[in-house]
Amino acid sequence: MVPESDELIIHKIIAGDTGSFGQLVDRYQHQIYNLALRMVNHTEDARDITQETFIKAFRSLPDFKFQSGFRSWIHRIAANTCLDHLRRRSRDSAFKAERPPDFAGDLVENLPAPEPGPEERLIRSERQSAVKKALEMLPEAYRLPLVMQHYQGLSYREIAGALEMPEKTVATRLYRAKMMLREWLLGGDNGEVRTGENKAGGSFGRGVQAL
Amino acid sequence: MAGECRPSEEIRIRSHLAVCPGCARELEELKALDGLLDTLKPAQEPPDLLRQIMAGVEKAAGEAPALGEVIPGPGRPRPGSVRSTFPRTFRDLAAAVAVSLAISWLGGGWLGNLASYAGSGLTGAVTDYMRYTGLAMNRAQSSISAMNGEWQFKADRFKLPNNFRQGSDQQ
Repeated sequence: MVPESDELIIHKIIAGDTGSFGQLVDRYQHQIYNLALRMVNHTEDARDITQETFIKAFRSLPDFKFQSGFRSWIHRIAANTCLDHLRRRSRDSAFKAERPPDFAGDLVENLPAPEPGPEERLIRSERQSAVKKALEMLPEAYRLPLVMQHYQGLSYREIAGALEMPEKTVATRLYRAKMMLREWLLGGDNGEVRTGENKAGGSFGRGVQAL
Repeated sequence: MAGECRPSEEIRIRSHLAVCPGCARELEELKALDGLLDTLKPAQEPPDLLRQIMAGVEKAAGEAPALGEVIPGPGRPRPGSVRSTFPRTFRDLAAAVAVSLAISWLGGGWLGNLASYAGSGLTGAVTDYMRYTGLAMNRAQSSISAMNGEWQFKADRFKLPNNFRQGSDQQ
């Protein structure tokens, strides 16, 4: 049986079948949760952001224009919810001291087979840690399109719709984001990208290249 | 590149990479970066997330008439529905039309029975008429919007994004 399109489900919800909203949640909760997790680096906050995103979407469904796909639209709501969360967090100077980032969803045990040995697991763990730190260092304006493109699989057009910017800007931000990450993670030598001191510290930076 | 450029563009880029060691090296580094980013696997959402979200949605639906244009399904009335937000004048006008239609359709033989149900059956008929008329209008409006969106989408497919070249080159 062919699954119902997002648009058909939305028509049903607008017509009064609010229970059908569960189909959309079931279809997109995984993506939205992962977007939130990559943006805020905290599982509990990612859960709250995901819930808030879908509640906002439900309330705003009558405004859905059908010109852009639902996936792009729900990502737009999620992106704004993430940014609101990060702004609130930045205002709370005690946040980091009280609630260190957790990555329970990214445990090395979640990696696919074949089962790695202890040394391989350590290397992977260090790489994951470095990538997480690098993503966290990326300014939000660059992190959002990068996460949407690399981890969510959104097209340039979908990202442009979600972030309400021209595709050209999306392309530029993706390029700059990758240049920054390349320098931080692989020790790039591009003069246009950030060359400042590594804020994340630890074994982060060129050390990853040696792994 | 990321699968975003046209085949002709891809051929041009590949031709350039074959003769430009600098760009070829940058591409290799970007591929290595992608590999590093891939070490972060998708996280599994909490198993009760769907239930939690839907509980929040149900609460939101019950608290406020957020979907003010939504008509509740049978047996699920809630505030903010079309019935309660229709302009009174329009509602009265529609009710008058419904009564006249009912009388003309049912004919004289049914008129006596209909009169005996006055105050209950007639009210129900008018109510149902209002509900389903509103529902039909809503569906029609949604369909028109969808068609507009679909046509817009089809039209967009034939437009070359003005930044395609730049985006591809940068990748």
